[in-house]
Amino acid sequence: MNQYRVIFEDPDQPEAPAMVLAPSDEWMEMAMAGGLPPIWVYWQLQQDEEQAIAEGRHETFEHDPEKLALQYTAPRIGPLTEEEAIEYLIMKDIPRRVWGKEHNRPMFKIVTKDQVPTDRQFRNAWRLAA
Amino acid sequence: MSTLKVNSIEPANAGSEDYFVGKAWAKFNAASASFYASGNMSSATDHGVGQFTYNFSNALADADFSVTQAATGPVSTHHVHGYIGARGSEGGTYSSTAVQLSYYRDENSANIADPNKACIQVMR
Repeated sequence: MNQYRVIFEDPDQPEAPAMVLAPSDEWMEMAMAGGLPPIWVYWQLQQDEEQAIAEGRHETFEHDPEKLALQYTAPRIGPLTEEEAIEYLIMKDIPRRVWGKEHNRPMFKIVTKDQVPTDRQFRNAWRLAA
Repeated sequence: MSTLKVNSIEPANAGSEDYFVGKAWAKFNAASASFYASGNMSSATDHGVGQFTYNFSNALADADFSVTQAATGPVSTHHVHGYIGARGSEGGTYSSTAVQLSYYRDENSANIADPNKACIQVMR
């Protein structure tokens, strides 16, 4: 089982509790085996869909078939270490506004699974410590 | 073991029903925010008690997929149910790359809860 988690806060939701990104073991295994395409393949798909949402046409939106196929046909980037895979996952599954710009405080942190509290009684009060 | 790769599957006999395949699935421990197992799922985002977004490894062609889910709590008196969307709304992420589900206890939908087993299947 993978050992890392990513704790992050969304600048667009300042009142929300800190969020935790948990990778799947199958995806990590594939990433460490070298089965991923370049990250820009996912970025351009996300960008196309975000633009469709912003323009109010998400209900009829369909991905460009060629861009969609790149997920499977683009040359693989090669094996990643577990740390590199987590960094890749941050760029893929966490909104760019969290990691892609400067903030006046840290907005995300890579931690080990053991550092995430197991007691969820006060889960909705979790914040990312400075 | 050999691998069968195809782009589409059609019935051999005209007039038969089409075949549809699952696009993603997961068995997830929401109480500990960890996967038991998954297929085409890269990660899950724990937003807080009873709120999770499941992120697909590879995007689907669009957001017109069907998602079904089942969930259970730790004991027989703690049944947990899930619904599509963010807590208290019909919104939340439902895109070609991710879907958000929320979970609550069966006695009161205001009582959000973390299921011990949350199963999700995506078909398109």
